[in-house]
Amino acid sequence: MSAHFGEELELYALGDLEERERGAIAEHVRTCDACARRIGEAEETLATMSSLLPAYRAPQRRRPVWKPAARVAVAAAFVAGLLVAAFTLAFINVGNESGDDIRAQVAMTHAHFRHIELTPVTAGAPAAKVIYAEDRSWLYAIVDDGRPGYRLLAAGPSGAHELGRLVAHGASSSLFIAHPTKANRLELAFGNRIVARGTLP
Amino acid sequence: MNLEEIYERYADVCFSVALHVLRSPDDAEDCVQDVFARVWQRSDAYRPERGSLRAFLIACVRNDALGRRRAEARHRAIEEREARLQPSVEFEIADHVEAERVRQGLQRLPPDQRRVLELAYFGGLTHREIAAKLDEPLGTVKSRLALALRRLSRDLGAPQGAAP
Repeated sequence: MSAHFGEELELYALGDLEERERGAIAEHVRTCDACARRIGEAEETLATMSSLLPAYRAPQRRRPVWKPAARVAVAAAFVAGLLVAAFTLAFINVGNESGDDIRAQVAMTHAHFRHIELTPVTAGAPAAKVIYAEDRSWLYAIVDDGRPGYRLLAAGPSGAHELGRLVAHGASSSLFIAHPTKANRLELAFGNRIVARGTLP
Repeated sequence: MNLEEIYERYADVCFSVALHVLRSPDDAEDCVQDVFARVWQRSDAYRPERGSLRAFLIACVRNDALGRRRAEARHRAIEEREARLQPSVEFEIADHVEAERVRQGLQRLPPDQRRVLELAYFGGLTHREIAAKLDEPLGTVKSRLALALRRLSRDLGAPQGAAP
């Protein structure tokens, strides 16, 4: 870990540092609890100072409507009564969403579904989730990485077979399988390497 | 807590902070929505070890608002908006107890430190603008700001690693 920062941490909280310096501090506090706490303390104080500002109500009219980039995804999530967290990975770049995403959203608004998080098995593996219909009529895999090359595999006693290739779009990749699958043990591969695993209950 | 709950709980204070910097309800609304969506999409952006979610969101909104203001060099337009601000949004009475506590904490700061912190936070001036206004070296202004914020944090007993 690099050396701790000094007064730059308070200046960071105040929001008036050069982009390069901000980036260096942001990177540092990802792994340094001491500096993160010091920034947090400064942020807490600045938040308290906001009590001296005139207080306004945020406009109501756009509350449920997000920016175009996230609108479709979040709307689908609200309609379906989802844990929105399950979707955050999926729709980072909804602006150039794939056909799979649209089909998945339509499916999700018409079915009961659950999700699991795949467990990384290699260092640096991206976050990945699988959303699936309770009746297993469809399955939707999402990976927080826009590089092409991800595949979803079903693992069985006689080895793994490929369920499909994820489509990369923007900052994420996804795969929608619109037919019933009995697969329970899922593996996410990047190229020939397994990077994450999960089991549907 | 899901996104809607977070928005319901913190949007008002974040909107107030953004509005103070940007002086435009539309810009403040855009700023708040952008920040909430960004923070929500990047689940690793917030760490509870850092402090409360409220403070984190307010800091993100304030930084984003300052960035917008700097990037678009809107100072003049912002000043022109001052007169139009009041009728367009609903105004509420702030938390008087908390406000009084902060006010007293600021009063206990050395005058030179209080001045730079007030110019930065309430005046929305950049460090360079403060240095020019006070005719002080930039490094001095930065050190005073950091000292002021540290001292005020200790004085107010800002919770460390508070729960969201």
